[in-house]
Amino acid sequence: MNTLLIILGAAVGAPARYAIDQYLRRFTTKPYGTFTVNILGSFLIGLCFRSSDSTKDLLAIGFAGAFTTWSTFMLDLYLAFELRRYKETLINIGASLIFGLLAAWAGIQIVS
Amino acid sequence: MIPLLLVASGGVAGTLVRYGIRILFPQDRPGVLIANLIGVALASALLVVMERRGITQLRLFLLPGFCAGMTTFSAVTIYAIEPAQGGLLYLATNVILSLVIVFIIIPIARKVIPVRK
Repeated sequence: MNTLLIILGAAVGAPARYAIDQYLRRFTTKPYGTFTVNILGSFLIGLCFRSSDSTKDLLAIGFAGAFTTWSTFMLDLYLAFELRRYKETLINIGASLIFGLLAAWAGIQIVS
Repeated sequence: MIPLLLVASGGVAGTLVRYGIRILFPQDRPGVLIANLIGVALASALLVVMERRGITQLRLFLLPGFCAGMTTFSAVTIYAIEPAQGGLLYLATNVILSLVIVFIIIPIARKVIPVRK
């Protein structure tokens, strides 16, 4: 049962990430899509902190796990660095980590 | 519609591999770290393949699907906060090892994978 919930969450989370990223790419070449999904997903996983195991399987491991991405975040950092956009690289890593941690923390606070 | 289905199926496959790696370990943190590092390594090589050979359906399944689904940002942020002990070290380990992998694999892949004539 838990595997089915994880599959269901991921089947929605991954295409939702892709759709948001493709949409934001119409307006900017900067990685705002990855940033947006990662912050939203961190908030959601914080909200799931005290949930039941099946809710965690569906929303935290399945949906938020597939909705957020670490690999694209790292590729974005490399590509900006390679183009000598050092300031953009630092802003992306700093803002993603700080707002990601704050979002997860805020989610936990709401359910605690 | 087809790109979304490819990303969804790749994302499900990647998520199941991440879950599989995670249950191999008694604690939550190491499994997510290992899934992230393997996913970053795969994604680095695939990025170069897509730069050189273009985007195909299989590559949509693999990069924004499988690799992005296998890796996760949200688990890193939550495990960096809870439990607080060792959280910052865990966050730094994810960031530093992933960057080392990207900075090694992309330049090597660009040398190894030729541009199709």
